[in-house]
Amino acid sequence: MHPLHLLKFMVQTALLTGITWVVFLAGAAFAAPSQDFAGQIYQPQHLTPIDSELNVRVGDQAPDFTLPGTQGGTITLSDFKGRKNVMLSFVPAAWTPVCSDQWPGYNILQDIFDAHETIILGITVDNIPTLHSWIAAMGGLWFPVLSDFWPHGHTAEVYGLLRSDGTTERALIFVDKQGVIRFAHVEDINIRPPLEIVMEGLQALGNPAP
Amino acid sequence: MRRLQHTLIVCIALLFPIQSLAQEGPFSPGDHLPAFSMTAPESAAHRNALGLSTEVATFTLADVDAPAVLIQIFSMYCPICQREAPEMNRLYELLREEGLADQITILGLGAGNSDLEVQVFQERYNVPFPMISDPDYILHQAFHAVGTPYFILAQPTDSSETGHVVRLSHLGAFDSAETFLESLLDAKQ
Repeated sequence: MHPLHLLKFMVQTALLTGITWVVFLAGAAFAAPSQDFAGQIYQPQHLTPIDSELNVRVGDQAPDFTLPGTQGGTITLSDFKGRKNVMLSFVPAAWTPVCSDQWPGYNILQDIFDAHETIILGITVDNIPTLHSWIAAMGGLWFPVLSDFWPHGHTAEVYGLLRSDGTTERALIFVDKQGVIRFAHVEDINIRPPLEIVMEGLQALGNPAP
Repeated sequence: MRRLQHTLIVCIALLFPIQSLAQEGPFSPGDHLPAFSMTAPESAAHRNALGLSTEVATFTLADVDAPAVLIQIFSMYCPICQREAPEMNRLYELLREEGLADQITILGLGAGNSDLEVQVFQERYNVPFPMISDPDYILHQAFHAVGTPYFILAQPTDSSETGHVVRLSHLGAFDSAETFLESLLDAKQ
């Protein structure tokens, strides 16, 4: 091999190795995947923090939707009107590191959500079989997860949460019993919103029942 | 050509620290823990458990007044940590029943967990030992960003420069508090 070509090859290899490690470290910095999921979680590279424009505002009536859920049948947002507040938890996709480390946390907080008369509706663009397997790997969840799979990401799009690659933002939308949005938070897709944000959303819904 | 050479040198220089990281993963017995600083817990009982005064805002492992420290890297969001919480509490009780409370101090580090997340986990499972938040994954990085739960039994060395030495490193859940305590006692010097 010509010495210059060899040098070029070495530079390219070095650069590639470097980039791979930077990507690896960026992923490692933001997720501490539970050993439960060891080896099953896809490790994406660092993604554009936010890649869509929120289409709803606090004070708006939450756009209604009907989506199939993991607990069977379909769920319609407006069915909760007059009965329950709703926290919509959009996450980008099943089997990704940060998402796999988000809902299992909410899973131990049912009493807090109950006290705020709030149900969680998880939403992703994955189909039901994928969601089924993923939730089983988490050890189950007490709240339903909805599949915004077809027409692909339509609900996310209406809310302004569909990213250009067909996944959704990591967002929390709090809807009160009148169906009005009281709090909306779009997190950097690469990180998990701290629980402090969830509490802020619950507070925005009004005081818990005594 | 000169520019190319320059690029090559920079790339090779960049590769060296990265190479050393490539060998990381869980610690092995005999490894020394890096130096890291933690926020002191608010609870007086937890400060007392660590041998910290009421004044300090931060502390290091060197400040912990114990012949051995069992560090548990956990997360409120980790299902296996949730399931194992009662067994961890059992381990804490066992140390007391066996009269070993002064021998091994347990310290939880909440990887990527905010103060509220650590507080929720601690209250939910009535965790009796101190737990420290790590919202920006700084402590988690010091422990090679491994999965959760992760356990390290570490003991101080004679020299403060070399820090704590790892006696036992365990990634994932342990079988039972009883057998895990046996492994801890076997590993401890």
